[in-house]
Amino acid sequence: MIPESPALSWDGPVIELQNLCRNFGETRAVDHVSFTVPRGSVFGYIGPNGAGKTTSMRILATLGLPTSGEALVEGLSSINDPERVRSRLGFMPDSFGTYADTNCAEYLDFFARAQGLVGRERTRRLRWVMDFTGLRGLADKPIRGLSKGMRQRLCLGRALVHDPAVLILDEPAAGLDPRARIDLRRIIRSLAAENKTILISSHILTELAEMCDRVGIIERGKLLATGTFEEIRGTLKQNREIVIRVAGETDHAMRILQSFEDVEVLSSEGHRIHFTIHGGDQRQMDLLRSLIGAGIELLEYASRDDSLEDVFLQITEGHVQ
Amino acid sequence: MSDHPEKALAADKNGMSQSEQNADVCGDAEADFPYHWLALDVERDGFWGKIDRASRRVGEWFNPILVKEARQSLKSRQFIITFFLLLIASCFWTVLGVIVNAPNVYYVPTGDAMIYGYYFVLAIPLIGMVPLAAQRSLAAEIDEQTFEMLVITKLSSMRIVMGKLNSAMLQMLIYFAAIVPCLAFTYLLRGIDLLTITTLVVVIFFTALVVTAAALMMATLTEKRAGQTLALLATIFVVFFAEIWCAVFCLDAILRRGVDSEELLFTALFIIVGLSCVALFVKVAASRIAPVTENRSTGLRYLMFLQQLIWAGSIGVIFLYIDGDEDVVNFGNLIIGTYWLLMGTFMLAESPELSPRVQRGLPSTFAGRAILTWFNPGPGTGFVYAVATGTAGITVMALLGMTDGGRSSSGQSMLFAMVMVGYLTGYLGIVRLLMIPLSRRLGRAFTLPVSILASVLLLSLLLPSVISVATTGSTGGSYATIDTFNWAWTITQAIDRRFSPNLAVLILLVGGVIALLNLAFLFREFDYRRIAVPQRVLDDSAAE
Repeated sequence: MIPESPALSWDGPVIELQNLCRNFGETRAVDHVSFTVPRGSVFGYIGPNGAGKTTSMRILATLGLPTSGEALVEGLSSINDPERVRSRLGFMPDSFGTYADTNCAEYLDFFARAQGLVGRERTRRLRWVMDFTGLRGLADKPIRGLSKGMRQRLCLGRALVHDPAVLILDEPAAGLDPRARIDLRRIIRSLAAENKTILISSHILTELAEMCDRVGIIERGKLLATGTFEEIRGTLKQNREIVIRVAGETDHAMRILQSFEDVEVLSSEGHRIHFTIHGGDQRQMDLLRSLIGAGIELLEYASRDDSLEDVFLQITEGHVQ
Repeated sequence: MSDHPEKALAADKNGMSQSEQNADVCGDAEADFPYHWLALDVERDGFWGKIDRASRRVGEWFNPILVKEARQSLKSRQFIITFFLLLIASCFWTVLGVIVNAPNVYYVPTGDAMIYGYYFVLAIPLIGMVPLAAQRSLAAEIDEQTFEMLVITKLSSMRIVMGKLNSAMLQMLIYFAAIVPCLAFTYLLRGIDLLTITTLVVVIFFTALVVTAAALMMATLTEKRAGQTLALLATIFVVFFAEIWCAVFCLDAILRRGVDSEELLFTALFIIVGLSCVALFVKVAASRIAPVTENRSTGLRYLMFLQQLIWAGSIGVIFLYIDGDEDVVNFGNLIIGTYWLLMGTFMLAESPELSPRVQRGLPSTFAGRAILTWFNPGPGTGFVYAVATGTAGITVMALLGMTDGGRSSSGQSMLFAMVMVGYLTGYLGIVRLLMIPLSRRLGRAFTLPVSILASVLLLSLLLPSVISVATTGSTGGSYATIDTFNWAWTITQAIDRRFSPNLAVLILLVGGVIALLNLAFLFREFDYRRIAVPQRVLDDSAAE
């Protein structure tokens, strides 16, 4: 067995941003962003283009300096102890270059060597990375001949080759076909199961909802909301889409629904009424009680919570710097 | 290599972590493919297996960049074309040389004639192609976004630069190996001895090494495309200059006049000074790509100090054992003054703010602070360090010049030293005083103090003529007090021993006043004290 890394003895948050700020001239790209990510969890970083995701991720990955604040990985500063942080970190940027003249195996072997892996340890990690990312059959293929998806896998393999405790993935799904996205989701969940801590940014919000334990929504450099998807939704004015099917005519039911201030009737078709309600479970119970109390015979009741896109749209206003 | 990669994999499986074993689940579709040989251990038994394992163990010691570059560069089009051109040129000159020298080649020594052609065959790729390829290699990493992936590995910035330099040296060795038979051929033709051939090769190799290190440094100066183009042009200029210098030294001094003790001494001094330049260039390049919070200055300052010692020693040796002329000392002081003016200007671009990481390494005792504060990063400490070290070096050299090899001294070396110290402190002080307000608005890129210095030097050349024209209507024909602003004319006057001691004192005094003005802005950089290393870092170090 590979001996337990000394890093695992750290029991605080694995990733921590403390009041991180970054100015570019007059523009504040990151504005007092703070959050923590515990070990073994996947944190989704969501925001429109230019929101400050990449800037803060690059600071965390020791590739940028903040104007103020602190970025910590396992309690070590990305700013003042970058070498210590780098050995714990695998970073996959949104755009990256590769050595076109090398093949996949040479590329991974080089980064394994650069990460200080020697002898059997290196060959074992190379085999694992090639299997894990599905690059075994492409080992001899020159990088210049790889598809976008395969290059993404290669870059992920590079980030994983030294078995880091933390992975920072900046838009890893961008430009991938649906199959490759499914593979990526599986890979990330599999890594989280191995106790890796993952910070991932993406525009594919539904996929983040499936992958992430917690999310942070950032816009114009400010972190607007952070927590589990349920927690964030709980803090918002909740919208639920509800469809009911009644026995008989819908007029009576429509009148009752319209008497509720926080109900907005969207449509009625046949015996079905489609409406939205602002509020939580309590408001729905009140509504149902009123309908049944008024003698409405309900045959069907279905509700749908806000999707991650809905939550995202509610929190952000689409500002792009 | 094992013929049964699956067997090799199974043998290792017991040593796998959970995540590694899961890889097999993720990669079921891949199971039909054999592993690449780089991912396999050497399983073969017997003699060749031992050789294989031994060579792999040796390979682990190599810089990963060297391994990568060897795989990448040696199959690059540039290398293949250059190598074959070198082979073709060697063959061509061998045939042509024999034809031209026939029938003498059969009866009289003609090796000395043949080696001229081989010199060019070797020097052009080594001094011309290798440095440019090395610069392009490092610049391309930055340009093609592979560099960031490199710096977040465990490779230190120094190892990255050394890897590039090692790769260039490997190319040099390959080119050299290709021409060794030709050099052996010239030796067999007689007319040239082994010492001359060796000296020639050594000079070419070290010139190429210095230029390659300079080219690597140029590649790190800027990340912008336009800046990279300028850096490439500067490198081409350096390459051109080096080719000419090397040709003059090798063809005239070594081949035409032959290798004697004087040539050997010059070659030895060139190698020592050249190596110190290589160390400085490599350190600068490594500092440029190191994290900004790292102490990127102290190591460089130690190297500069060492370089001054080497330079002063070299000039001293030439003065005492070869020439005995004050002009040698004056030349040495001219270089020292220029060197510290330039290095001091670069140091003015440093930030006066010290990161917590740098503060952890500051001297903690009073004596340490008193002696080593000048090695701390910062424009103020840099100014004092450049002025103090430069002044000390120039003074020592001038005192050496006063001995005049045991003969009576004219004292001109001391006058020249006063002029150089005055200009060094004066111009560097003006640049620093201008940098203080300008850096607040324009940032601290190294190009800012360099631009200020260039402007100040240019203005001071023009100022006396402008004043003279404005007051008298003509530029004036002879050297006057106002012309002390004109550093070029003043230095020429001092070298030609046509300089008044009073003017030398005036220049020194003005320089001193400007230096004193600068001291008023130094105090901020003295406020920094050593801070404790965070407990988390200590714990992490202990865990390692």
